[in-house]
Amino acid sequence: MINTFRKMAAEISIITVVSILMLGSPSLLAKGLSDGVDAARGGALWSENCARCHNMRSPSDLNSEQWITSVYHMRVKAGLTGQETRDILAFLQNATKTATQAAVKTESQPSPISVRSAKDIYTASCSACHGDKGQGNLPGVPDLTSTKGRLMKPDNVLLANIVSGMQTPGNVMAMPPKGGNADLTDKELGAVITYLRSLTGVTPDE
Amino acid sequence: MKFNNAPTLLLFMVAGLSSASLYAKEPSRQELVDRIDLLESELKQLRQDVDNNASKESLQVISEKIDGIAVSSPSDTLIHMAGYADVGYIDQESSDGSFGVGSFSPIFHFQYRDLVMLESELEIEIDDAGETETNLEYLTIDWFINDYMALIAGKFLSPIGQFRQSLHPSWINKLPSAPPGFGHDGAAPVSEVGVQLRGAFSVANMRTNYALYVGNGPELLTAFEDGEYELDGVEAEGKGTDADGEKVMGGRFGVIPVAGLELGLSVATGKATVTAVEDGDSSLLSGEAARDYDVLGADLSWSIQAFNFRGEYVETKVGDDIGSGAAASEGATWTTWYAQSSWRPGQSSWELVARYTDFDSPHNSQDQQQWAVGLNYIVASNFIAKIAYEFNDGESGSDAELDRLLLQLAYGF
Ligand code: HEC
Ligand code: HEC
Repeated sequence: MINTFRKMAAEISIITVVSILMLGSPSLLAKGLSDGVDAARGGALWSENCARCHNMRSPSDLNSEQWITSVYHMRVKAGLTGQETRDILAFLQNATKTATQAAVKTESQPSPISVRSAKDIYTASCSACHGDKGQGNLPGVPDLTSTKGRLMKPDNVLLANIVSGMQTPGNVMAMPPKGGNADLTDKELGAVITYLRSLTGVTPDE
Repeated sequence: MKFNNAPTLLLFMVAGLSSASLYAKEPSRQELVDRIDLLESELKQLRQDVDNNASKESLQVISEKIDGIAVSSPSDTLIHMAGYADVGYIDQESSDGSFGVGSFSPIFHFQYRDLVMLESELEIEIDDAGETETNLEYLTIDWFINDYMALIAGKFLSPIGQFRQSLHPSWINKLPSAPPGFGHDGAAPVSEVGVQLRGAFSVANMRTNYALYVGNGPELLTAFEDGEYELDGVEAEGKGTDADGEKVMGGRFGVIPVAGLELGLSVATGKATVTAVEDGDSSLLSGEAARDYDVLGADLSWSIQAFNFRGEYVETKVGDDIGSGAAASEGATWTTWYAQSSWRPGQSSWELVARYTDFDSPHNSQDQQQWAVGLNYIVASNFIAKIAYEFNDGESGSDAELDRLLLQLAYGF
C-alpha cells in the first residue's frame, strides 16, 4: 500500500516537472547571448561567485568562445540565473579582448566624458578585481594602497599598462586591457588614475 | 580638404599641364585623342588606388567587424573540452611508498546556443595491477528551460552536499585525498541516474540555488561476517537499472546570505534493495524487500579575506528488512562530517590547509577519524602542487589506522 503510494508520488512528481517545462514561457526561451547584458554587473557577480568552489580563473585563461561553454557549464554547477550567466559572460568576453581590439573602439566613438565620473568608471570596470578601496579583491591582484606598490610608478607608465593590459610572468591573474571596457578613452583612464591616487593616498615621491 | 577629392584635383592639374604643352607644340588631333585615352586610363587607375587605399573610416568598420566576430560565437554549435588529471606519490605507514596516477578525467561539452548542452566526463584510472579502468563519471543533457531552471537528465553527480558535485576534482580539492566517507562506498552518495531540475533565484535580495532530483537510487550489499549477515555497504553510484522499481527523490537548497557565505541543506528519501551477498548464500536475496533509504546533509562554505572555511555533514540511513529475506535484518546508518580551513595570503602562491573528518560506519573496521594537514603551491589557478600528511585513527590493526604521506600534482584544463 505504502509502496504503491510512493511509486505514485514519484510518477506524479515527474509528470508535474514535465508540465512545468511545457509551461516554460516561450519568451524566456533561447534569449540571445547579448540581450540586455550588463558587463559591469557581470564583473561584480564574477568576483563574488567564481571563487566559491575553486581558485579564481583569470579571464585570460580562456578565449571568448571557450568562455561561453565554461560559463554555461558553471551556470549549472554554481546555480546562476540566466541573466547572471549572460552578465558574467559579457564581463569575461570583454576582458579577453586584446589591446588592439580595445584600442579600436575609442577612436570611433569618443564617449561622453562628462557623463561618467572617474569614480563611476572605477566602480563599474575596475572594482571587481581591485576592490572598492584599491586593496585588491582576488589572489594575484596587487594591493594598490601599498606605499611601496604599483601606484609609485608615474602616471604615464600606469596608463600605458592599463590601456594595453599586463600580466607579470607567474601571476595567476591578468590585468585586462582597459579593465575589459573598450569604450574607455585615455583621458577617462587618466582621470581614473587620479581618482585611484586620491582613494589610496599613494603618489610617487617627486 | 578630404582625401577623396584628390583625383579631381589631380585631373585639373594634369589637364592644366597638358593644355600648356598643347599651346607649345600644337599636337595633332590623333595625339590629343591618345592623350585623353591615356589620361582616362590613368584616372581609372588612380580611382582604383584610392578605393583600395582604405580610409580611416573603412578601417574602423573592418576592425569593428573583426571585433564582433571575436566576441560572438561563430556558429550556434560549440564544441569544448575541459577536464583534469592528477599524478602523485603515496607513502603509507608500514608499507613502501609508490608513485601513482590518480585519474585522467576529460570533460566534453557540446552546446547549441543557450538552449541545450551535453556534458560528459570520463574517469580513466590505472588500478594497482596496472590495468586501465574507464568509467562514465557523468553524462547529462542540460536543457536551459528559462532563466531560473535547467533540466538535467542522465547520469549526474549526486547533488547532496558540496564535496561530490563541486569539490572533488583534484585541482579544486585543497588536499590530495577525499575526506573519509565522501569517497566511493561511503556515507555520501556519489552519483545518480535520473532527472534533475537545477536553478537559481533571489528572495528578498538573497541569492539562492536549488537542485531537485528523481533517480533510480542505490543498491545495498550484505556480507556474512562473524556468523551473521550484516549490511555492508550502500552502492550509490548511479545505477543504470532500478532493482526495486522504487525511485529515490531528493535535492539540495542553498542560500547565499552575503557574498562569500553559502549554507546548504540536502535530503533524499526512497527505497533501496539488497542486491548482493558477499561470502554468503545469495538465494536469500529472493526474499528481500525494498528497505527505507534516507539521506540528510548540511554544508557550509565561508570565505573571508585570505581564509576559507568549509564544513559538511552527511548521514545515510537504511531501514530494517521488512521482507522474509533476512540477509541482514537490521538496518544501518553511515555518518560522516568534515571541517576544513585554508589560508592563502592574497599575493602568495602558498596555501595552508587543515581538515578534520570523523567517519562512522556500521563496521568498526571502517570507522576513521582523520586529521589532514597540507601545504599547497599554487603554480597557476588550475595547476597545483600539494603535499599533505594524514594522521589516521581507526580500529587497531585495521587499514583505517595507518597514517599516510601524500604528494600530488593536479592540473585542471
Ligand atoms: C559550486 C561550485 C563552483 C562554482 C561556484 C564555480 N565553479 Fe567553476 N568549476 C566547478 C567544478 C566542480 C569544475 C570542474 C568541472 C567538472 O568536474 O565538471 C569547474 C570548472 C571550471 C572551469 C574549467 C573549465 C570547465 O568548463 O570545466 C572554469 C574555467 C571555471 N570552472 C570557471 C568558473 C567561473 C567563471 C565561475 C563563476 C561563474 C565558476 N567557475 C564558479 C565548480 C564551481
Ligand atoms: C580582471 C581583473 C582586473 C580588472 C577588471 C582590472 N584590473 Fe587592474 N590589475 C589586475 C591585475 C591582476 C593586475 C596586476 C597585473 C600583473 O602585474 O600581473 C592589475 C594591475 C593594475 C595596475 C598596476 C599597473 C602597473 O603598472 O603595475 C593599475 C594601475 C590597474 N590595474 C588599474 C586598473 C583600472 C583603472 C581598471 C579599470 C579600468 C582595472 N585595473 C581593472 C586585474 C584587474
